[in-house]
Amino acid sequence: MRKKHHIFCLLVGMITLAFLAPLAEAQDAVRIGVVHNFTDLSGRSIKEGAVLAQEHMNKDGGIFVRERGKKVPVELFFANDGGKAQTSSSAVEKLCNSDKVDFLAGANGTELTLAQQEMAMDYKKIFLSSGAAGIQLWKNVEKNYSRYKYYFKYEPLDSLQLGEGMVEIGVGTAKAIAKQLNIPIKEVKAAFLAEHAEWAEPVVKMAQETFKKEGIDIVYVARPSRDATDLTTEVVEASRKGAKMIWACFSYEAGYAMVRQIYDLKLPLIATGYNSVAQDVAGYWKATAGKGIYSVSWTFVPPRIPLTPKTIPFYDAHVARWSHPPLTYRGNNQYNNMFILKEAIEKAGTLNADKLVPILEDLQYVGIMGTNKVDPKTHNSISGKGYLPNIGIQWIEGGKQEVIYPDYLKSSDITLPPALLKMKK
Amino acid sequence: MLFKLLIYTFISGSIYCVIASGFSLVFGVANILNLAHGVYYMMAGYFLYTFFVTTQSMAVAIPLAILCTILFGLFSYFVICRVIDSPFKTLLATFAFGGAISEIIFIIYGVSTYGIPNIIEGSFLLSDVPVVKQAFVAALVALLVLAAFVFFLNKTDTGRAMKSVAQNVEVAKLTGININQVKLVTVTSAAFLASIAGVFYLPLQSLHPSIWMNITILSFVIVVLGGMGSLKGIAASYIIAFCEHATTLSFAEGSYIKNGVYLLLMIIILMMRPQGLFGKDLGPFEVRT
Repeated sequence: MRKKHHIFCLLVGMITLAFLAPLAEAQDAVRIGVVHNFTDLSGRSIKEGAVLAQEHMNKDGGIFVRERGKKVPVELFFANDGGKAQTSSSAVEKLCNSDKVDFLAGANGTELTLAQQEMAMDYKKIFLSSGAAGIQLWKNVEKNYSRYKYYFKYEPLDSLQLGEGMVEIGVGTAKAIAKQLNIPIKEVKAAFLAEHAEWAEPVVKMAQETFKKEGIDIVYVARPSRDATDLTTEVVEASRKGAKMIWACFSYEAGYAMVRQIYDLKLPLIATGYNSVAQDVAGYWKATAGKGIYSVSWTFVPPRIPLTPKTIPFYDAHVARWSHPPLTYRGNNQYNNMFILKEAIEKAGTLNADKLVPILEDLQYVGIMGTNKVDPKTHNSISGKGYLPNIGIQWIEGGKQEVIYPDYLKSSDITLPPALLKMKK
Repeated sequence: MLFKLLIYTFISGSIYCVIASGFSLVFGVANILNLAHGVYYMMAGYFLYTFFVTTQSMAVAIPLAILCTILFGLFSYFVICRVIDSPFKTLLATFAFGGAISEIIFIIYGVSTYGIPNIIEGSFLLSDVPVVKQAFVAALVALLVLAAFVFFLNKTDTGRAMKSVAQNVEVAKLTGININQVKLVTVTSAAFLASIAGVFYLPLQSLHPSIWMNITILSFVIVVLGGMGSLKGIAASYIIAFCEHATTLSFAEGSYIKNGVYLLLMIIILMMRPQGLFGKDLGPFEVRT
């Protein structure tokens, strides 16, 4: 009797769920799925950017969808990919299959995003990635447009584009060292510390070629893992070989170890290039216990300067909502991507992916960092003057950031650490 | 070059020694393969950070952090070890415990990375090799604590009881040794040893809720390489440290592949000497009840 009662309850529950599920699906909303590893800093940053964009849109009623004749609120769905290739595509599948999202956004790490791109294309979902820089992603669109046309990367710049910025910042640092130490540039020797990752390969190659062209000797190259916690051997070896600067290329936690160990060992070195963690306006100083001083890095997190009319309002809104500026560039990318999507939907008047593709290809959007536009053949971001800038910052006394690159935006020249200044001739 | 290699091997190896000694002890005495061992190291760091931020005094924060890690060790023993009756279940339970604690830390402290100030700032040159004072002191403290612990094992009743249980649990029972009490002391001792490494060495690194896993893997490799349950085996720490630094210095990709190199070394040693470098041949895997 009891067993029959349980079976009856189970059946009633299942029937109720079966009735409720279509009701939930029928809810009028633009459903955006955000995929990422939400247990790391960039994931938190993406989540904050997404929620802020959702709140700003829904405050005005949401997105106007002409075919529905009204404004539709934005609903967010999150899927944690755990930062692992093996779970990355199933996270997207969950968003497409169970959550029935209309669009996909988020993602970080080229290796993971490539797997997610495949799944998104299988489901024919518009996918605006916010964190991966590998060129393979847009090369897929170029090679097989009909399959990959739903993938767009307005931000960040790809590894070649951002590599240009990182290399220019490195060369700029070498010139500043030569000038301030009163030595010819060929005496400014450089060491390379670049993480072992797909996105970093073309950047490292480009940096090696450019440094050679500029007459800067590369005396030491090390390729640690991106989450290395001890780089003592590497930084000491760089200094022993006569390097005055370390051109770094770190998108993860290894950057903390590098700057702390340069500081602790009082090595006559300055770190430059790209240290992702140095973009974290809110946490970098605390995480390095102030030892990240003098570190120079390319950044895509907006400093509080009017790059566009949207930069300062976004910066202030982010601080007001989360009590800190964006933790990484993925936060402002995510925010921007969602507004790009809004503009495209409002222009197209529909959520239909095939109708949105040409609209997104033509769209020119003034975002937080600059003007967003993609190449219609590759769906890759366009960089350079008038579009997205490369910005270099330096951490100085008191845990503040100065903009040191490009010249038209800079607030200060590069400050050399005292141990390096002692070498002045 | 060789001198630099030796200095850095001494520093890293000594820290690894004190961490792995607890792992080895818990396996040797309590027959628990504690996959949550790295959590003690991590917790020591979070306790130190919290107490330092609260009191702004390292003199207060360090003893409090060590004490809290010991209490945490006690807690871990009561939560997982007492209720588990088979080595396999213990293995799973300790791993789950480590993951759960890491998640709790994520919730409390967030995903941000924290930095702890050094106790002693600055560096010095040891025959042209720059050495961070804090790292050198951490290595010395680690060795001192380890020496004191070996003394404790050999010269006190509790220490001797731990050794007896490690040698033969049934005979130890017959002599009236309270096995559960010995296991409890062993697990808390492991937490204490890991806390010493955490408190003195973590200020040189950054604090993040995922650091426990690498420490656990490292301890596991050291103990397998040196010999499961053999306290002498923790000397393999220096072999691991030497491998790491030598690989880093020898190849551009060295620091990327260094973990692979010592894991490969572990496989080679296991093929040639399955009981590890200093372990006794125990025959088939022994299951104590």
